[in-house]
Amino acid sequence: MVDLTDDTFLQDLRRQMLRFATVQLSDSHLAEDVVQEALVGALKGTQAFRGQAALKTWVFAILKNKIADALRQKHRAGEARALLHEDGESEDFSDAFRPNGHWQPVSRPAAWSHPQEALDQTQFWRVFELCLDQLPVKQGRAFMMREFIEMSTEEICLEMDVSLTNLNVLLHRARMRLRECLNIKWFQVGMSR
Amino acid sequence: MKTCAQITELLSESQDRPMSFAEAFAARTHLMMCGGCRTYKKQLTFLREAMRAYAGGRPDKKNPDTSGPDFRA
Repeated sequence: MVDLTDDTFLQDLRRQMLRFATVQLSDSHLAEDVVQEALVGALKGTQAFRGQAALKTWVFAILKNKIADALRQKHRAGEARALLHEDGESEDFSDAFRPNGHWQPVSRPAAWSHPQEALDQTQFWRVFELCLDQLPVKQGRAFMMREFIEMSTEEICLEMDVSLTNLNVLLHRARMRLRECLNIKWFQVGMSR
Repeated sequence: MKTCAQITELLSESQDRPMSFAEAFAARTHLMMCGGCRTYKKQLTFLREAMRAYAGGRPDKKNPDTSGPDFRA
C-alpha cells in the first residue's frame, strides 16, 4: 500500500509527469493543467496499489490519455502547426561520417570513464535533463515515449501518425544527439575535472 | 559490408525490435573490427540504463521501490 502522505514520492512523481507532458505538448502551462488533472483523477480512485511502481504506471496511463485529449483539441484548434517546427529535426549526422560511411576521426566515439558513477551524481542528472531538453521536438517526443514510458514502436507510430521507418529515424537521431550531448557536456569535461 | 553509419542505425533499431539473423551477423562482424562502433554500442546501452533510472526516479538505495526496472507495466 502506498503512503500518499509521502511528499517526496509525490513531488518526484509530479516532476517526472511534468517533464513528460511538457515534451509531449510543447506547452508548459498546458502541461501543468494536464498533470494536475491526471493526478487528481488518479488519487480520487480508492484503488490500493501494491507499491509506488504500480501507482506510477497507473498515473502515467491516465496522463497519456489526458495528453492525447489535449493534443486532439490542439489539432482541432489549428495549433498543430506549432508542434511541427522543425528546428534541428533534419540534421542527419552525416557529417559524423566520412563519404565512405566510416567515422570521421573527430566523431569516432571514445570510451567514457566511469559512466556508472555518473548515475549517482546530482550534477550528471542536471546535464542529462539539459541534453533531453535540447532534443528537437519530434525526436524528443518519440524518444520520451519509447524510453520514458516504454511504449512499443507500434503504439508510438499510431500516437505520432508516422511510419515505422520515420520513427526509426527519429529514435536513431535522438540517440545520436543525446549521446553526443552527454559526451561533450559531461564525459569530455570530466576528463579535465 | 556495412558502414559505421549503417551500423549505428542498426544498433538503434536493435533497441526497439529483434534483429534478423543477417542483421545480427552483419553487426557482429562489423563490431569485431570496429572499435568506434563497439564504443557506440556500449554508450547506447548506457543511455537506456540512464533513461530507466531517470524514469524510475534516481537510483535510491533507501527506497528500491522507485528504481527503474519496476516501472515496466
